[in-house]
Amino acid sequence: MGQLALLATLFAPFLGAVVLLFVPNREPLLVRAVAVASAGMALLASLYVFLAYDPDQGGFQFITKWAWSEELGIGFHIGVDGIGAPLVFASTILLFAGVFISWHIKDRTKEFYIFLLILAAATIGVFMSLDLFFLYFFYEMSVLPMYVLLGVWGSHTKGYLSMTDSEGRKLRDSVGFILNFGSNSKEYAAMKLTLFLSAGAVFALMGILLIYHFSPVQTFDILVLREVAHFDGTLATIIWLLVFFGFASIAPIWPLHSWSPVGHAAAPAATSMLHAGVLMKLGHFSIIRVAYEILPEATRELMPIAAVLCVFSIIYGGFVAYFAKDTKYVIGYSSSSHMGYVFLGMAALDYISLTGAVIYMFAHALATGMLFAMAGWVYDQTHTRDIPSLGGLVKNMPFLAGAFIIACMASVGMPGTVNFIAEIMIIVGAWEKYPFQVVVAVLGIVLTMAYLFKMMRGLFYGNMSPEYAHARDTSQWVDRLPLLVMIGCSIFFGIFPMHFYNVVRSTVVPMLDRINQVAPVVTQNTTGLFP
Amino acid sequence: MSDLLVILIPVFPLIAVLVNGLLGHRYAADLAGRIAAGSIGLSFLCAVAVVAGVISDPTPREVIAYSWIFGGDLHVNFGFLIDPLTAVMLMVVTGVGFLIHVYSIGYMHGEDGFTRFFVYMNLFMVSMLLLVMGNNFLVLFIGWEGVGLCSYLLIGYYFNKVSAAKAATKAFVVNRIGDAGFLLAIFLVFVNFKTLDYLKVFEHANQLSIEMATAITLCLLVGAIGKSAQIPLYTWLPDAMEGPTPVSALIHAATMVTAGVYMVVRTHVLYDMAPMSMATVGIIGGLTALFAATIGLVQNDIKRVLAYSTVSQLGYMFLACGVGAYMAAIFHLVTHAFFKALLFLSAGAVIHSLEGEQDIRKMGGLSKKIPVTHAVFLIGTLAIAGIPPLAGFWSKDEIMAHAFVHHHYVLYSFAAVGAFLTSFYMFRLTYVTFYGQSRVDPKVEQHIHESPPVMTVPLMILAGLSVLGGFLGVPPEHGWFHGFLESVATPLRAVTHDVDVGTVIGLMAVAIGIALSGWGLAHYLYAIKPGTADNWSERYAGVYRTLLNKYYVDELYDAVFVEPCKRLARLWDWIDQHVIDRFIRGIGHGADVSAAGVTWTEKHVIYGGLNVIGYANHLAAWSWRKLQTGLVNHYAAVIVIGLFLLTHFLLVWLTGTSIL
Repeated sequence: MGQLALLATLFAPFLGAVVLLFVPNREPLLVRAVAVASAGMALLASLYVFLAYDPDQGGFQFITKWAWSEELGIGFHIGVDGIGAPLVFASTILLFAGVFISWHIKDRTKEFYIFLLILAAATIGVFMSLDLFFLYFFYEMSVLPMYVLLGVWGSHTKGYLSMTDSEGRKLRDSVGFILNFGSNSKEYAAMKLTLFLSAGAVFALMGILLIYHFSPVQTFDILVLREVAHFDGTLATIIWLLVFFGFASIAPIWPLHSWSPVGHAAAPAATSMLHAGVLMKLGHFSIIRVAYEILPEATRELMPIAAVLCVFSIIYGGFVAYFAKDTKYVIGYSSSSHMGYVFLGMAALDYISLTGAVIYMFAHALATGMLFAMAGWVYDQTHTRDIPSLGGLVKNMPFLAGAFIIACMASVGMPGTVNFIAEIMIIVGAWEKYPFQVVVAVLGIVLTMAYLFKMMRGLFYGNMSPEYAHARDTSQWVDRLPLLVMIGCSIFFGIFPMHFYNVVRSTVVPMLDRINQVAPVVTQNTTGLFP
Repeated sequence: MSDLLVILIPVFPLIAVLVNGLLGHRYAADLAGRIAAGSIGLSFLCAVAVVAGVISDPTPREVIAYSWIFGGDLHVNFGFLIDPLTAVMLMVVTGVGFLIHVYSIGYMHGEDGFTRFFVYMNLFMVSMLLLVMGNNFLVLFIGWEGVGLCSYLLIGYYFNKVSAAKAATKAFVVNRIGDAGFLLAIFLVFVNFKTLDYLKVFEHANQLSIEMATAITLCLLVGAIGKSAQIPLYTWLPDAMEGPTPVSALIHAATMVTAGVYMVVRTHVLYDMAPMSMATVGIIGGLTALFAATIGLVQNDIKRVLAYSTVSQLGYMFLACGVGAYMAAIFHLVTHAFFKALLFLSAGAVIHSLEGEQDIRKMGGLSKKIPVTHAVFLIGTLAIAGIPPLAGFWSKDEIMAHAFVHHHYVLYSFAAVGAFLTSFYMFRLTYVTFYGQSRVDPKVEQHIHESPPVMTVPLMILAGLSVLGGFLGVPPEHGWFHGFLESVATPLRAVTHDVDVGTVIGLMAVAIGIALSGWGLAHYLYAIKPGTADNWSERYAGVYRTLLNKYYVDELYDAVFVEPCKRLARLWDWIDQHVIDRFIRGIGHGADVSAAGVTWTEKHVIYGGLNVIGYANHLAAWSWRKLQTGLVNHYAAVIVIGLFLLTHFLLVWLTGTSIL
């Protein structure tokens, strides 16, 4: 049952995308219904997986394995551990919410949903891959739909339209413009994002191929590799650095972050949600899956790099977010700042802080998903993301304002939301090893507070400009449902985090025991339902 | 059964939040108000039952609602601790909270967002109850953050006022600075004790080194300073007066701002181990008590005067904690809750009857027009000024006497001067508002009316409490109140001084003298020779302006903290755009240039090579093309010839003979 649910989680969005190919675009309701059905199925299946995951047993569960290429050692091998399960769950929550958030997209609805479903399915695929080849495959697959989603359905940043040459022609079509001048255009954002992430992925691929090449058994299977492959010395360092920085570019760690706010700003709301909510976590997750599992010694020695860089991420992202005037830039930089907390939790190599880091990924997915969804709604209503020109929207949008406050509270780690649990665990766990970073992180919370509430004030308080008088609130259930789902999950797991905590902990403890050289690898029983 | 009662205390307002929040738009706003106030009334009844149990058996009792985070080395229960300290706080929070809710039904009548107001207020009550009832630091922190959030929401209640939005954000951010300290303290506690439960922490507190105890308590103090608006984080509280007046009474006078004092007393076991922290608490308290009082002397907004007086009175409570007089601190917390809530609510009644006017220069001569409000305001003034036998006298005198007897003479002098100033500015406020010539706008003057009973009855009850509340703690240091709190608020190293009755009576006489002289000065300046005050403010214009502008502390903070942060943010934004981005675009350029190079190579070298092959291909293709003419007879000919040749080769291969 669990295996079926896991497969359903992965294939429901794919299936939805395939079915959508045959649905005519002139029936938008049917298109949306198919998208909702496949996203809903994935959500239910992943909820089942998350609840059915047995923390007492631990390890990888619901494993499915099909040999794909015996000679090359590649197999379609999926399963989740206590880290993958919650992240798969987060992905499906955001996909489900994202489908509703994009309800009012009129332009090429069908194609939009196809790419959105592929994006989500690929992300889910990374979180459950137990084979390096497929991990990389899904990873690359998740980047490419982003290019199309940004380039076609994205939005330009303010000031873009004034970019014309002396003869009044728009500059958007020239290559030089896209590469160098048009940093406000969606095409530039799409280009930058894709090039950046692909470049990062190539480094990671080099690391993966080195692992493959130098391991005693020629296989991509993570479960085999982590038992038989031992790397030390320079080779381990090189592989680790390739893997870490390759994957960390999507995380994004400072100073590899510059693609991310631009990408967030240009993307349509649902894409921003998935992007900031789960795509960024592919970086942390892949580092854990590859570096922590296969290169434990190198991880122990080199993870301080992350502890140093995360300080920059936290403070730098926070300050830039404070200065930003574009709602999506604020949220984008806040995401890259908050990803520093995850790196801190990971770097400390402590049970509590790593558990906290995983919960933080989940929590941040929900909080930032809510913020992007609502920033998207405000943009749809007012056609601007410029904070100084907005204001007083609470009059027209009381529901949205209330939800926005909750999202801000979640984002700053208000007790009662799951973010609080995560934050406090990271801080408590990392204290012994990195007290300086912890103090920075705590001050970062104050900073988060400052910029989020500055944005809150700018959007909703004060006087409203008359040109936005027509802006309306989320009144239909399709508009409110996604917000309520995300808020509900955030608060529910904040008040009842027990199962969540146990699930994550069951995986984190043996992993860290290995890294800290307390215990050898626990052999995984890999007999599956399927051959 | 009694466990259920404990859990029900915060659950009633929570239910009201959900009901009003989700269904509030479906019924009349008045009903929402009644539900809100009624839920607090039920909480109050439960609290009375629980407190009655504590009075008969004061041993601390833990009630665990459920395991919140549990596993490995991290155990946190969602639980409550019921002991005398919690009992006192419960009475204050639910009792005063209930009266203020009832009052609000009248005060907020007809306002936009009436239901929203009560949802926030009830949410505040839930958080505040968690804060005072929690059995560990994390539940305390939940409440702590929750009250901060509700404070933010309620200060910004009039959302279209830019000043209100700014004040709300300021309050929240300043509070968050304090919370950062609190958070650090929480995990210092966790790292040292591996638990966050009060009872376990306090039990093992003696294993702590003095340095660690000092570090923990100083971090806690940062949190307390932020929440209780002490120097240097007090600037948000006067601005917080942008919220509706019942909010000022409930949150920014009676309950939330005293959370810092509650926390210090709750964790006094740790403070007792750290003399340096104790001294810091005392000095901060003493300075704040004096400093805020001086600003209060010249303010002209009725609520701002009360706000500075709150800051100053909280300073007294901190001072009391600093000299080890925890019981006196809690005692003053209780009496202050009575008379400050009374003062704020009656100030609200004044504002209500003057249609929103808050500037005391536009009041005057109101005593005859709103006699009930005048009477209760006067009682509040007498209480806070320390005129016996009202509540404020007993609690403030106890703090001052304790400081004196324990040889903290500097702090005693701060408190004494502060008491004189308090008495003066409070009577100034009363005189300018209620006596003398009316300076009210004539248009407004026609409509001046006494408030409805829903507002005046709570005022009268609070007035009664302000008069009688002090007797709980009589005789000083040995009253019923002290006996009740003895088990939870006695300093570990309690030094007993044999104080003779003469000293006690002498100190009382001094305190009475101070209070009366403040009254006398105000009477002279504002009743006997009105106008003298204006003369003085002209003669000492420099001092006057400094005080009026609150020592320019807000401007100082802007210049020292806010502006540099903004500049840093701007710098880093610039770096992001011009350095990091340029670097990446540089790579892009490089790629561009190399792409151009590659293109040239492609065109001239590789294509050249390929073209040769291509041409060869082309030629071959040309020659073959000749074969495909499209004429059927040509094809037929080719087929026939082919067949012939095929047959021929087959025969040669099979038989070795040729037909040719």
